[in-house]
Amino acid sequence: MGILTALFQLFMFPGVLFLVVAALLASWLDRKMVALWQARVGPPWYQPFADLIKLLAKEDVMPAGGSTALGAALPIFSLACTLAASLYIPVFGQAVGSFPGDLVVVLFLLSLPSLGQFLAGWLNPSVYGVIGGNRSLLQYFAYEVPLLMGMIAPGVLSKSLTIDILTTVQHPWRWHLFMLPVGFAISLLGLIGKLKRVPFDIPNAKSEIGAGPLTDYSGRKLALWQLTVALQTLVGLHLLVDIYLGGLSPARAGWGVPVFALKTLMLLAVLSLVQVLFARLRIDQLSTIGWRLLVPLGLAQLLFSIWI
Amino acid sequence: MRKTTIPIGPQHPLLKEPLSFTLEAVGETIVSASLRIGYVHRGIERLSQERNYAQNVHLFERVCGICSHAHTTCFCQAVETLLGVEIPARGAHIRLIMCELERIHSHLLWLGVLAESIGFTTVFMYAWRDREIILDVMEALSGGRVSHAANVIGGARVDISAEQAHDVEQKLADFATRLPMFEELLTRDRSFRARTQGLGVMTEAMVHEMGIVGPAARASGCTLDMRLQAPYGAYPSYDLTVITESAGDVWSRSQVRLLEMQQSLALCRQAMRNLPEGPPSVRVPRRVPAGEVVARIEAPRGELVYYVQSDGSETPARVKVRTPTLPTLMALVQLLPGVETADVAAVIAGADLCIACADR
Amino acid sequence: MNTDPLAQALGRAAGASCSASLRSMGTELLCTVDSGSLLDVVKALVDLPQYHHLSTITGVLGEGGVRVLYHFWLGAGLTLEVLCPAPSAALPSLVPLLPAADWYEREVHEMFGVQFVGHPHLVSLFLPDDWTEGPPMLAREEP
Repeated sequence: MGILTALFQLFMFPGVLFLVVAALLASWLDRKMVALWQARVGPPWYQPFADLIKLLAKEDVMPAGGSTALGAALPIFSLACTLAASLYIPVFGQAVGSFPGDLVVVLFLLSLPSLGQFLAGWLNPSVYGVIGGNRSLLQYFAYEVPLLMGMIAPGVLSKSLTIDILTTVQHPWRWHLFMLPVGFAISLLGLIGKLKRVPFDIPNAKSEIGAGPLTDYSGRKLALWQLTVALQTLVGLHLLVDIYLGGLSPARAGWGVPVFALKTLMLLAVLSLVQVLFARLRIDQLSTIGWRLLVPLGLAQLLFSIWI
Repeated sequence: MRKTTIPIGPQHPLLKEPLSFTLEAVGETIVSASLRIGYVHRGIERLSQERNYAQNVHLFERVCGICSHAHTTCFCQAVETLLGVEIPARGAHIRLIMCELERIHSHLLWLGVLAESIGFTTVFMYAWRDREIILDVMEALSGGRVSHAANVIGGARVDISAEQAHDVEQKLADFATRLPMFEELLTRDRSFRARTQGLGVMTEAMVHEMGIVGPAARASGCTLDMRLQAPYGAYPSYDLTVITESAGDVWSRSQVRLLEMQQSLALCRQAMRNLPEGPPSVRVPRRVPAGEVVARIEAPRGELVYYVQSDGSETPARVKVRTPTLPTLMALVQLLPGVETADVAAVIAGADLCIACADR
Repeated sequence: MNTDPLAQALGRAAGASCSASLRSMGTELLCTVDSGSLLDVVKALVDLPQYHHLSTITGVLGEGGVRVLYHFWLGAGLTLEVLCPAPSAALPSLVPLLPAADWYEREVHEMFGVQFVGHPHLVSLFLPDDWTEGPPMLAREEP
């Protein structure tokens, strides 16, 4: 592999540039779908781009008492983690890199932005930030454990923790979704928890604590946080498509791209639909759901995939 | 454990109007609450002493941006009692129609605000979308969406033509098709119930003690409804039932409001069909005989009280307004300790506050 | 609505002097009480079997002082009138009997300067914290 090819993969496709553009388009689609289901008009397609550019250009205010160095590092760190994780997730069948056991690394890297938000909340001089940070951490434990179980179950079943292998073994119709439907549902719920979307938008509950951990962020740093969330959404969906929905399969050569895109969009539509259909839960209700329902189900699914 | 002080207001995403709660929390539980109001105190009572009665109708319309018609109705009723004037039946019916339309739109507004406070944005959007129909009807009848200026002392300023009545009937029929969705949602939806049942419970004793009125009182089993207790205007000619629930939580309040919307809609349509002939208003003298009077009506949020004192001149000597939000606010301060921080928004939004009303 | 039973009950509970001053005010009733027996009368009202609540308390500038009006609803409207001779004179607070009186007394206090003895927290309700001009409703220059 030539250095030029490597650079292209890293920065153009399926690397940073493609992902950023796709993630912003996905966030537009998400907003548009939610708007249409809520009987609203919704934003034009370039709205997420405009939001990002506007925020990048805006004055960056940090209130007195906020830790500037770490506060500035956190969004960059979170964005970097998300992008690093994306390198190992095949998009349209192509990943930048792959090594045995990369699934675990990817899950770890994807969990770091949540911790970043917790720290960001604690660094905030605002009390809303502190409460939001606390809730982020509580939520982290409630969704991360079931998510991990849900994501590992296919690995146990197919005896590999390499995303590339897990994707290809499903060809053409041996999708993990069919064998481990419960695991898929748990992973999807866990992803919603990770993305802090309705009904798990507890750490950034607007009517309770403003923007939660990000209350005092503005300008470029807020833009990076928002970009992180957009990327997390897309990367998380890609991971689910690769692990549970068979990646490119059952497409023959040449049809992989639309099939993969369609699966991602359908999952995105599910997320949007959930956003429309539910009210926000309380943190104790989330913990109850996480530990009493999702964790036992996840364990059962894991045991099932071990014995089968 | 260390206490965290959580400020809510004067500016906060939850609050549509300025008021300031200072909450102290230990962990996730509120242990004490204090409240500061007066951010939108405009001295309307004092100002009314410098304006004549006709001007004051418009002044009191501006006490509130939601129940503006209730305020003018109550004020006009007080002055009409002082004058000893009986308003024509047609005017009384038009007042009733506007009052009931206002009740529907106020209840829908409340539902939207509550839904948004528990993160249920879809319900917020739907409730406010359907509220537009009612606002359109009110605009068609009076020319104003928020301030209707539909009342004058002596009756109603606006008249309803046969053509208008036909249009309104169609719009209300359209609106009637929207209500079953809210009924389904408020009674059945599990995530809505999970966030509102058992929350912000006002006991009947508390309602009694604090003098809480309106849907909040009725959700706790109290049967206070001024339309029935002291029938005014055209209300005596219609059958009304008082709608009560017993639990006193936010969910019961939503049930009471839902049923009230249905009843108000039926009442409106009935009154539109039974509109008596005749003039909508009578002329009244500019000077009001000396005396004092108390008028009470059932505003969307409960008993609205106007005290008017006249010294025989063209301007009132004293007008006192008691809006239904004031006792609710008093109770809210007692209600908040013990509530989880995550539920504070729903408790505050579920109380149906109108700060402009309370502050005057 | 028949308010006679109310008048009788009031007469029984609060004494003849109170029911003697009972007169109509528009569609409702008004009754003058002196500040000394206010608490007894309100206690009697609170003990009546029917549903009651205190709607509000109004301050009115009258001849020779401030008239304080307590508007009750007991299935019919009843207003108790108490004359407060000087603006800064004291009245007994109703809060221990009726918690609902809390904010209404605060409002009358800040707008008219009436002192309510026994009120747990008699501070401004609507006026700003830095208000120094005294009770605003007392200033009554002609426009």
